[in-house]
Amino acid sequence: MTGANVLARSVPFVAIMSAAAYFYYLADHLEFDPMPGRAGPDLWPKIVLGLMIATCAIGIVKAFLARSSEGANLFKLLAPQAEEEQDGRRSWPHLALLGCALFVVYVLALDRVGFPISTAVLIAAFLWIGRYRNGTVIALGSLVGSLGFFFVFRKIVYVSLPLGREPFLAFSVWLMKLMGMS
Amino acid sequence: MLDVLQHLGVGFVHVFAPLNLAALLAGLVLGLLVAVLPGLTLVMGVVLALPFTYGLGITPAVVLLTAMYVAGTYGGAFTAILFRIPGEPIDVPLLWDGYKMAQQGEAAKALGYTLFAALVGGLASATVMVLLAQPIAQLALTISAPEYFAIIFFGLTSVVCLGSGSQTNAFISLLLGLFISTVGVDGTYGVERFSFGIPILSDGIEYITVMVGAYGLGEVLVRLEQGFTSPNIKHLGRIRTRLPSLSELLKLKLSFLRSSLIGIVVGIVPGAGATIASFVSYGVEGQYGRRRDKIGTGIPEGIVAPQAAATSSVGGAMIPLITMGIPGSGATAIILGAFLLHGMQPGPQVFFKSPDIVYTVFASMFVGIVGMCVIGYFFIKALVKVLDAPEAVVSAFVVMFCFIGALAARNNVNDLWMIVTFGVLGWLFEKYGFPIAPLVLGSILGPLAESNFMTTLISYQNDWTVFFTRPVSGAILLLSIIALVFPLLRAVWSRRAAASSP
Repeated sequence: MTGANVLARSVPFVAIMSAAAYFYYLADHLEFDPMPGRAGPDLWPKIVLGLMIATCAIGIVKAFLARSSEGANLFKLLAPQAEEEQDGRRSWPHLALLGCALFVVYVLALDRVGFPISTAVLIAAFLWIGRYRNGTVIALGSLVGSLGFFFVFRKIVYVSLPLGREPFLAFSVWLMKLMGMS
Repeated sequence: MLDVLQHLGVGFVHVFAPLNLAALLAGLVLGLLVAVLPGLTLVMGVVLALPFTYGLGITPAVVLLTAMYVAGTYGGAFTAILFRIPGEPIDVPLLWDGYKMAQQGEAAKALGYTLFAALVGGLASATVMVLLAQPIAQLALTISAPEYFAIIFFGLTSVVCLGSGSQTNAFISLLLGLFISTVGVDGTYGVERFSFGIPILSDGIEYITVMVGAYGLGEVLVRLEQGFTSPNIKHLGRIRTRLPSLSELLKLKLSFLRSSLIGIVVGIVPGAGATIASFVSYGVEGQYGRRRDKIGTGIPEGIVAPQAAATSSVGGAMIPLITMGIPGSGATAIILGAFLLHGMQPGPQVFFKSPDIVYTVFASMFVGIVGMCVIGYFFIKALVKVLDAPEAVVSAFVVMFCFIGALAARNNVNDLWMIVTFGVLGWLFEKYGFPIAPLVLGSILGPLAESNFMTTLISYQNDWTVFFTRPVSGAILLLSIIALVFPLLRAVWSRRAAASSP
């Protein structure tokens, strides 16, 4: 195993360990009025975070010893056949990253643009990112999906879906009138 | 006992009320569809259905989700046996004998064995659930905080040691879940922890948010990264189920009994679920079954074992949920969420306060199991046809259900940030080999674990040894530690044995 591989495998452990150490520091500095003879609100998080730091340290050591994939557990003892079903599919990490970016943009846009428009765009963009290229299905899916969700959840389930700000608000209100929602 | 039967009888009458029956049917069909579609897992499906139950009463809401849970353990078998596409991880063991039997030209027969396995396992576990629930609830009334903590600790450790990946990663995932549950105002002192003055963090992080994000969006991102696919099932041909004869079934009576029992026991253990039941039961059949030497060659025992155990785990998982308010699996955690959203806390008191609701849910399981098999028998071709739906389109709608589910909970757009955060976390977890189940179970059981831990310390003047000196809690904690340590010790012994052998 190369040094780069070892580093790559230890990155998640180091990241979680650093975050746990920071939160442990915060827990240690919680402001509360201690009651004599009683455990404080910092005790439970400190136990959890302390264990997390220790386990991450074990993970880092295992990454250096290249043993992290050899984890033993009851599942493997009881059902060794499960190992056979590991498949090696191709992967496109950039698609997942684009998906993450799309979700962030959607949440940012929802309040401003309103549910109907932003959802139609989200569905169409998601299908495109997912390498689906049937234009008719994309157009129909995004329109019917967006309007269908808007109608069902606003009119029947009474969820307060965002309508957006002007000029998008006017469009959402017009749609609501069209669908028989006051 | 008569009391239980009387309540159950009333429950059966309530199940056939139009709204409850409609919820049951909808749950069964949705559960079967979710199980058939490879892009949707059973837990994901139940999570996505939750927002639709907000407008329903508590009984139809819980009946719908429970029906989805039961049917979700069965539907995936169709595609696993016919096309070698396991709709759920539960169905993977069905590839080894079910698909082989189908390849030998006995697909209809394989589907028949699956149907009977689901029926027998499901009805057996529902019966055990009805018989055990009230006595366990009465027992639960007598136990105190240290024992509760020990039971929860056992559930938490079992999810770590029964996972299929690295135990270190599973433990980190679990601890992260426990930590997430500490965010917000602490229940004992009223002190804000790790909220950084952000209002949505002050209210705490709802475990439903963690589940929807990690299981829903996270899984969609994983599938997006792998590239969406659509299986080619254009040549459906003549798909039907052929029921086995009585003599064929009688030859399998021990397999039915063994796997149903395994399913019930695994289901009761918090942290273990249908997938573990299915794999464990197949493994046990391969080691102790009458025809263990032929397992994996397409024999009925290899179909009955995983299917009966998977379906029977549902009744088992419902026992700790209803009697103690402890969800044993992802799906029961959502059912717990439905109870809480309708202002009802499951636990021993529900048997005295709301027996009508509890026994209607119990009765719905009996009706649901039979209904699921009837739907599976007559509509298998229509159910399998949904595989034609492009995975990208299904996933786009899953994303929408996740977002709307988050919006519906509190009508707060800020909750969407939480969903996206946990979605990305779920994807990264999958990518780096950290299991999601311990994270979710930690966030669900965290508040219960902390409150019982703190109550014990306060009641016993900070004496932590009480967890080990009280016989019941001590025994359960010891069992948990053995479950955690035994596989590690066995691995060390095997390594030493391998090193010492020439």
